[in-house]
Amino acid sequence: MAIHDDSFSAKTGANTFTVEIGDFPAGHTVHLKLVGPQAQVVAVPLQDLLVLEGPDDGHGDSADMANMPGMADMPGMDGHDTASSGHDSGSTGHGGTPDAHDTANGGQAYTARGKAVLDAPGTWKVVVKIDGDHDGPVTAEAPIDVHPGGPAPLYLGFTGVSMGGFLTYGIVRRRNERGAGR
Amino acid sequence: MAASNKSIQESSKGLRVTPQKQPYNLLSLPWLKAFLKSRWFPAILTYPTLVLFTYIVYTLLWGPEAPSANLGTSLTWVLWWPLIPVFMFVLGRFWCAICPFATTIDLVQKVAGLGRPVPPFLKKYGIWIIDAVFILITWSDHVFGIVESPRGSGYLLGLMVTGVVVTGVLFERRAWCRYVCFLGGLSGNYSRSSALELRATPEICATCKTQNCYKGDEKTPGCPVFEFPRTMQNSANCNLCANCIKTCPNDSIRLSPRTPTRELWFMARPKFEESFLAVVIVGIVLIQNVTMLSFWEPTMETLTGMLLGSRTLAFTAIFLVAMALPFGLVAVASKFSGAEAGESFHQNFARFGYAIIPLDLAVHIAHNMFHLLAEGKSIYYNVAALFGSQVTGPAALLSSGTIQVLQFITVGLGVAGAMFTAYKIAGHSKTEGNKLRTFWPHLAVITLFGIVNVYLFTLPMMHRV
Repeated sequence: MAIHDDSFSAKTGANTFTVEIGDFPAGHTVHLKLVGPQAQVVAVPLQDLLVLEGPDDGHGDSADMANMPGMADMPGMDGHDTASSGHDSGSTGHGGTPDAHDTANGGQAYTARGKAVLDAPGTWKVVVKIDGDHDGPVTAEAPIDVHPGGPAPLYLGFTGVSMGGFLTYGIVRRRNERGAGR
Repeated sequence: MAASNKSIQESSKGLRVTPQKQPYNLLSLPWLKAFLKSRWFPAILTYPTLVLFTYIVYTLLWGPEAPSANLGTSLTWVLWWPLIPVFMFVLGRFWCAICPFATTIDLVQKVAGLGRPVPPFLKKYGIWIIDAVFILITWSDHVFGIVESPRGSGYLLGLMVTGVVVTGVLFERRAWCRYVCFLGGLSGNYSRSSALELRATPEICATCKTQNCYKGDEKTPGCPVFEFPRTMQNSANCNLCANCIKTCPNDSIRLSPRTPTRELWFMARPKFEESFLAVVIVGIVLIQNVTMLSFWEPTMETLTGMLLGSRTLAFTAIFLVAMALPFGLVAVASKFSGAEAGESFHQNFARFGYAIIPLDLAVHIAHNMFHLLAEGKSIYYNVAALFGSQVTGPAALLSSGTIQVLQFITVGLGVAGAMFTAYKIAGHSKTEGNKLRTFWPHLAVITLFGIVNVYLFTLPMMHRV
């Protein structure tokens, strides 16, 4: 199993997480949450990823997954012992798994996505829980580093001060010139 | 336009004037004329564009760092950048009329504009500044990563907005657009090939006392890019903002379709720096193509090892060669051609450099056609994600084979357009030498550029997102 973020590593602010499980038994549900450095908990509601078909673009992979860096690998979660379940109730309560493909091991590939807003940098913990009908839940955890999101403060400062400074200069100078002209 | 000028010149010499057939005027369509004269034009387009641009800059700077997941990257580099040369070919510099930079300047000037005259150095060296900025940005793109990095793209746009605000506060009209904006320089060149022109009717203008088209009236400002339609002979700066259509009291302005590239055949005052930009673009597109090919990385690694382990130095070396090669080839052609035409290298380069523009335009469109058609669905996926729908799949709209065929057709048309333009330019040589012999050297160079580009398009390219 792997979890990808839409940035090269997780950042403060909005993140979109993609959960990929190679061999996923039908009838199970995946829950994703993140636990922050101050023990804050952010639940990530997962939504099945609809995979469309289209012309061969010569790159052989889906548009975004090909370029998404793996953020956290969670070994041991693929093919876990709940794989014997034969139910097909959908993974996240959306009534189906349009992204599910049969795998070599007889299970299905599972891909789902969810958004979360992380409020602080530091080391967070990714927690994935898989619930099955016949077995107890299986939980896996992995640490991730969350860095400050957005542009560099120096850049923001430079552009902000330049624009603000010149605008202020223009307004003041214009007012003075109009005053002198009266 | 050339025909109209001719009739004026003949008239001033007291020669008999034969009535010239005026091109079809799109403003004879009442609905179009009413729309262009209304206060809704171009505001109905400019403000939505400014809002979208603001969102794009926001999402580039604060959104996902993976380009494939960033809507700003998709909209900028997969949609807008590939469409902009097509837009320029069809509508000239109309994009400049609705560009968010132009709208920002207008807004800034309403509250803080000092309206100072543009400094003479900017007027004198404006095109060279544009040339330098264009080369610098292309170099920075590869060294710092602008296109493939949402943050890099956001930084570039933010810096440009800063420049726009500064020039908007200090100088009158849209000095940024006319003298600094690299995209303005690019569109200025491409618009000369466009299928649309705005011109005044000299016979009507001869009796005009108001010159409102340049100065503006109480409702509408004058030409934002310092053009005087009465004497305007090319489409390099006109951005079809319709201010002159609104302000002209005599309905002198016409908007006419024309044969693409026609303007390039009769350049009255060719400028070396404009031709230089046209030739440099060949190198820029060349480097854009080469860096997306599979042999690029191994080549860079080898060269980096040879140049003190510096990737920046290695890229700079290749970049300089890529810029110098087309310049050198056109320079050699100009040397031979100029000798036949009895003109200096400088004059010949300035005249024939314009012939490269159709090829530039075609290769630019062909290169970006790959990004639009091979990565276009990423826009849909990212827009869907914006509205809460998670969907993915192949990014391509068409198969790579189909895209390649379209690229070859586009390059073929560009090469044909460039060859024909060079032929027409040779035909207008002032000296009575063998005009065909002034044409051959440039024909050889254009053919070579065409072959190189066709070959590059046969190789598999990397994606932007």
